[in-house]
Amino acid sequence: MKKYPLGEFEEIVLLTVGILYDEAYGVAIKQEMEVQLERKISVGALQSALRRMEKKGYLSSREGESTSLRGGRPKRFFTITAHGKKALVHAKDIRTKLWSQIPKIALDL
Amino acid sequence: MIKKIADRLFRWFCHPDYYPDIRGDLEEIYQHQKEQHARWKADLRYTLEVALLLRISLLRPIKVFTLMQGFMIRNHTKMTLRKIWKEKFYSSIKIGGFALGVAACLLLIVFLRHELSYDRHYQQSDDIYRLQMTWLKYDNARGVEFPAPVVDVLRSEFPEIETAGRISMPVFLRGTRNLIRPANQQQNYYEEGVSFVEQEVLDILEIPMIYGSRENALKEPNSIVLSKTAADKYFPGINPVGEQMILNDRDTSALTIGGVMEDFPPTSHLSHLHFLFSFTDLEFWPGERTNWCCNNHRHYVRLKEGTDPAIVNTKLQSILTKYYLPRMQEEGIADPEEEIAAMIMGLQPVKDIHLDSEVFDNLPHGDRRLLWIFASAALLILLLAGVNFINLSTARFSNRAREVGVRRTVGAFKNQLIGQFLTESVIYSLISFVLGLVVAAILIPFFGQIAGKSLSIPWQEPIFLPTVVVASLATGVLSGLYPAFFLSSFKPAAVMKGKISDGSRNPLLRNALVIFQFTTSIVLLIGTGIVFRQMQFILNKEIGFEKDQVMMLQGTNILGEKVNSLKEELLKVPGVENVSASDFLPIEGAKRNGTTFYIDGKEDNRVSGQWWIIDYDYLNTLGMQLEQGRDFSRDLASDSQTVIINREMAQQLALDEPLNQNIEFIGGSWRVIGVVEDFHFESIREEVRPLAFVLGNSTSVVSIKANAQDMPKVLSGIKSVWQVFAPHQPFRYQYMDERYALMYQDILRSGRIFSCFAVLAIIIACLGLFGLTAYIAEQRSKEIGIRKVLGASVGSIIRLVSTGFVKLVLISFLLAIPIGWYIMDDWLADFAYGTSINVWVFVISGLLALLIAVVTMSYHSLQSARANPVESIRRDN
Repeated sequence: MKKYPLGEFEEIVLLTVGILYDEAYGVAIKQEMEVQLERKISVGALQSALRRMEKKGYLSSREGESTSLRGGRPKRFFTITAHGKKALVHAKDIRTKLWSQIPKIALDL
Repeated sequence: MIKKIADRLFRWFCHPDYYPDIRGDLEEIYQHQKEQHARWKADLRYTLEVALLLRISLLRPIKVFTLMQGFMIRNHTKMTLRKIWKEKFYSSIKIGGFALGVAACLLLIVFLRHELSYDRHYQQSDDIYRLQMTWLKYDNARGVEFPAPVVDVLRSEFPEIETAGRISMPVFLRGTRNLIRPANQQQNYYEEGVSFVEQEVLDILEIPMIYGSRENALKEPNSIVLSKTAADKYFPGINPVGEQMILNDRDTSALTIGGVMEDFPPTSHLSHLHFLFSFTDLEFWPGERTNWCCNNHRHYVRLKEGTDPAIVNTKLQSILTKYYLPRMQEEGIADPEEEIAAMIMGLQPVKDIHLDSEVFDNLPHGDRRLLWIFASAALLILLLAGVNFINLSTARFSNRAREVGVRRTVGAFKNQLIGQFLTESVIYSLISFVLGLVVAAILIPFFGQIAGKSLSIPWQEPIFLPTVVVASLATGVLSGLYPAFFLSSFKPAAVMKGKISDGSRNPLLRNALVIFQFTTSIVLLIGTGIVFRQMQFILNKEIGFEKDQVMMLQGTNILGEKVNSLKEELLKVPGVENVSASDFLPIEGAKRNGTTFYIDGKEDNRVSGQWWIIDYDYLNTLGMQLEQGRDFSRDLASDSQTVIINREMAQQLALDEPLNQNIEFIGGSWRVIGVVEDFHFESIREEVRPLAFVLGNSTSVVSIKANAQDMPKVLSGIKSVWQVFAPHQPFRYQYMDERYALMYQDILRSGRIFSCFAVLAIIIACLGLFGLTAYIAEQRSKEIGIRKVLGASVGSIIRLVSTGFVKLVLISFLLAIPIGWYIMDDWLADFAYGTSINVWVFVISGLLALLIAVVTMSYHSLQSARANPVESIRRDN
């Protein structure tokens, strides 16, 4: 069993939630990711990642205000939890460890 | 509009906790989109997003647990079994219909599986190909025979080809060419599965050997490989490698057995072969291996693993320009470049051979069209059976309604009721599947006969039984869903008070179903009628010659010059009227010679036709009628340069006065002495073509016209004559009318298949109808009772119950007429000489369907009409 199960897409979502800090709700995260990643993200992919990570305890959420633009429906804002932070750091550490071990010549393409 | 539907869908499947904010996000995005794009684009985008939201983590939780609670399996099973036992008659009809559908479906699937499994048993079946030639000039006709040197070119110039080898199956002229016997025996046997095969082909086709090694079984000249069946026949119980066999009594060139192979599997396109002769150092005529003139060899290749056949296909064209072209120029063919451009050499995957019925290779093929018909029939029958099950289950709902009411009153949940009915239908389905399997296992040999295949149910296949179990569970659940929800939705209070909704929630759907079933049945009946009429038409048509009481004695060329004395002896047998020796006979598979005919001075009108070698007695023996002129005469030596033609030849050559005209063909000039009436010498599917008779020797077949009541006696007389002349040769004969009927086997076969489907469709439709009359009679039992009390007659009540359905059958009949006409007209168009579509076929089919329907309905309508009215009126509900 992995200590911090975190998929690649989930990791990116989690980071984006971090970037947006207090403003991280569905549409904002989607737009930010599309700008950063230069590709289209579907609501379905994003939302399922968000809910999964909420279940895993990496994210917490609160209900926000509703606007007329949203047909009177509330926003849901996400924030990273301490456990989520650990998962992110863990993922980053592993990558750094792997990067440091690649012999220079292997990347000399 | 689209957005609304998408929304509703989303609300339906989305987890209710997640719904509000995701919906808000969607709305926000939608508003953005609408500002930038057209409305419909935004709508589409929205729908797409909704579709992509269909993810397990976002789904509304399914209440599996609550549903499972409903399945009190033991109790429900017990209830179901009691119910089946209690209503034996009713449940046996229900199960029987279902089982019948399952059996039919299973048989068809087995057949489909068989047809689709041809030539897939090789380890490298993806790399094995057969060479074929497409002739653009002749309607893209495709052939598979090539000159012998092609194989050398394939080996030397194509590095992509791993192995290449030749097979040759010259159409053996039904003569003694393949008489065979072990060297130490005298008695010859006639064998048909004979072929010349190169050593390499054993390797390409991965032929498994029982004795001898595959690497050199056919390497030596004059070696032969037998199939297991053939080895068991000639050398039972021993290893025959090294033994010798004699072909066609040529004692000087004995064949040495190089090996014994497993029989070709029934799913190989070469499954008829049992004798493979070595091709090593063998030429059919001197110089053949280097001559590009004549197409007699089939080529099989195995490509190096993973080679793209398209590359080889492109390269193959170089053979045409490099080798075919010089040859054509040499022959002086006009415009050889154009000829070459209209030819395409290519590879045909070995897997595709069986179902490619258009390639000309003299092998039996499957028919893709038939496969589609079979597949849709299988699906249709299972569907009809399932729907019938639903109909029958809901039909007697009022019986169940009270049960449902009581159960609900004492505290059953709706889920539990659904569970009960689902369990019930699953149990019905399981029983039906078991029964269906048994029925299919019993019927499969008969079905195999109809389809002309050896079929078996694949019990040993590891996925077979699990698939059947899963299919039966799925069918049970699917067909149980509607009755389950329908029956469990009764309001207990209303039911107990006897106020049941009339249950005919959807009479339109039911009526449509009945119409559909009967339309199908009537169309199939019409099809059966027309196919059999056409068969009768063919068998009784005036074909221009006498085929009845004509026997063909085969293999007579072994006698050489003695054939004439054989003929004389045969004439002495009582009952024999005429005897003629000629290989050229008006049935498929007999010998043929083609050439072009013209008249001196009118070279531009060249007619292609056939010339047959016959003897003096031919026309009399086969009862062909001379229209003008005379038959060949023994008294006129000059008749060796004369010809008798058929009327079609005279017409095509534009001869108004054909007698004594000269016709040029096969390098000579022939004087016409007679014209015969046209007779059919090919399938009736085709027009009669030009034909010429000349005198000559062609003695493989002797035709004997008898005129006797006692054919067996004539036959034994003929046999004893034969045994005097050829004591060690098999006595082989066929009756010409039987041989003629054999030409139309496929028609007979499709007729039988048609009638099987028709019977099945009728049975299934009638079971449905049976259920529906039960339903109507039951629903209106009180009304019927009151009517009877007031003096209605039995007849009027029968009319009351069945009029509605009779109308439905009549509507089906009206629908079936154009459909049946259209399909059968299309089918008859295949024949140059087809029967007309007769009105009576339609009328009889319609009446038959109606009659069967009325008989089916009469059971329940009679029962309700004759019931004591007190019984039904006294009932409280």
